[in-house]
Amino acid sequence: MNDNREQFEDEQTELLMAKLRSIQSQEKPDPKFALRLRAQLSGHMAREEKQLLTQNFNFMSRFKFAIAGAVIAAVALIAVLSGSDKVLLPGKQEIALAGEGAFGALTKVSVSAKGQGGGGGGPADAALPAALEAERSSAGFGGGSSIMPVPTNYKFVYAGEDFGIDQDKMEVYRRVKGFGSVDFNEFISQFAVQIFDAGKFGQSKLEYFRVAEDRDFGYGLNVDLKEGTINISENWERWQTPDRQCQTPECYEQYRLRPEQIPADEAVIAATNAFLDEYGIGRENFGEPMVQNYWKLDYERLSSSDKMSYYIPDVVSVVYPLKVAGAEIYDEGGNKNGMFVTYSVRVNRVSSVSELTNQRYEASAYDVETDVSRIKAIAERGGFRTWYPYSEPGAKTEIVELNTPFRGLVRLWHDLGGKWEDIFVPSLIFPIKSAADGFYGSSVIVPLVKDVLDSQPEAPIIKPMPLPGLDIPEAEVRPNN
Amino acid sequence: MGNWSNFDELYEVYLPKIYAFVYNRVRHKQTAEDIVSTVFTNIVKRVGTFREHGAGFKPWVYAIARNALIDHYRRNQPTFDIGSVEVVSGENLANGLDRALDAESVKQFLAALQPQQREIILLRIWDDLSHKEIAQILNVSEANSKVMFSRAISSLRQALIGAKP
Repeated sequence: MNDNREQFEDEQTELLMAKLRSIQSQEKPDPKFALRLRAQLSGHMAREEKQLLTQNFNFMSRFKFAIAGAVIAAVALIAVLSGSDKVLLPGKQEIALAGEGAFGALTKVSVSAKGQGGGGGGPADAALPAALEAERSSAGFGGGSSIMPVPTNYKFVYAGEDFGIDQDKMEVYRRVKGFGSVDFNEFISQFAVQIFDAGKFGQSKLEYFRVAEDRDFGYGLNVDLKEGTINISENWERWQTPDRQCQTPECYEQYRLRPEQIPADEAVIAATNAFLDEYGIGRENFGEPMVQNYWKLDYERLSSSDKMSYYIPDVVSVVYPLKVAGAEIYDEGGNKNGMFVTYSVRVNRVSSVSELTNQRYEASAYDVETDVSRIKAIAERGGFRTWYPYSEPGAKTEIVELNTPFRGLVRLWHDLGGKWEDIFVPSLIFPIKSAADGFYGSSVIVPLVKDVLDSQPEAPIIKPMPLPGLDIPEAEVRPNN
Repeated sequence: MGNWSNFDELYEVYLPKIYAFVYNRVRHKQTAEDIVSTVFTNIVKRVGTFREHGAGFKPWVYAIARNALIDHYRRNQPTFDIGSVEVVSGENLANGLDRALDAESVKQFLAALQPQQREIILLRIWDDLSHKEIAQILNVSEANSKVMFSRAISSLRQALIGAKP
């Protein structure tokens, strides 16, 4: 009897355990998750053993990337090649003093952004609002906006206080690019490459890589090892909002934004600040952020009917002005320059961060222009940018008044014959005091370094193209002085 | 554990086990992934500790996973919510206790057990751990683990029989 009872209880226990097993989930880990986690762990292991990545640029740990282990290995190799005591991406600014004229003659300086200003540079560029591009091509010179302008010549007149240059030498800063590179042979040797002989490229260096988050509204991280820059951008495949599926005008019209849908500047800046803080991107090397609302300058001047058809950009661009040695950076158009963060109005989140660079610089003293009359003359020509006056009979002339200048640094690119150096040149920035409607731009820039000023051509002589059969005489047009 | 060269093999073995351990207790994919990520990150960081103490690797890993779950519960919910357990199979077995063995009943009475009893049952039946391993994870003796398991099963069986319609 007792045996039967025990057997019965055993059978019941077996049944019970079977039922308990039946309510257990058979869920398996997602293979993508497994790969992603494995890659993350490789990074942790590398850090445990080699103490690689800096604490200051800790935003990379916030990303859940589908990073192949080999990419992390590449980063590990960079550290090994660079020396284990070197920081790869220091957040704290470091300036090393070099001798006078250490960067050579600064006679080949680009006056237009090579592509790294304003978020437009790098192999995988951050999106630049169309309105911002329009602004950059037209500032102060009457063209390039979405409205067909009347040909307008601007006559710049200095209306500020007396000023002087009390130094004959000033520091030019040069950004130290890159943080080493990875020997391609060591990198590729981890893989079995079958479609070509990888050994043929044995002397190559890994200069750039991109990784992406495979999730809705995930980001891509574009790392340029050679330039020493990082851009964060949309992983386009995972940012497919309905407006991006449009094929017809009706569809585009349906998703057109209205001005009231654009958040206030304060709200956008709060969101971009929060993003930077969340991702550990330090703001200590930047000045107060500001929203670039160039499209509003056009929009406000439109008639009601034209406003109805005006394209309002769906991203808001915020510039965080870079500071080098405490001075804010400008581009040659007089706009603040530095790190750019774009905010998508459609999905209410940051869509890109561009111009995250290492903060290592060298400083070298160069001769500066002290002749105030020459500086004023250049300012009253419109400053450093090339100026092409209109010669049409219908062109009008508008006065632009310039205010007392202040000192700042202008970001330029020094051409070394196919290689470009990122330099920051001491300059005078003349704020626009008053200007007619239609004038774009907030300031006029005059670099002070003699090499740079002396190498810039005078404003060109423009001859109108002769029109055969119309008997229009050629005429020479010279710029106003 | 030696150097990292055998980590891949260990990862392949333990990821599904730890994932199952966690998922069965949170029943939410994203939460499970987050907790599992934490578990393996802690494994990598603490592997030096494991070497020093010389405990069995498997119970050491499960102990890290258990602690991660406890941390999750503290942040999000104070107790294991058996109600979140989905009924994977609605199968009702035939006769006697069988008729009482519908999944809902099992869930209800499992939830009514003392927490440590419930934990031992699930570690034994869901995670297929031996009493020696359970003892190391819960920091009890192997004998205690066996006794608690036996009592828990008996309580569960009696409760289900008593509830039989």
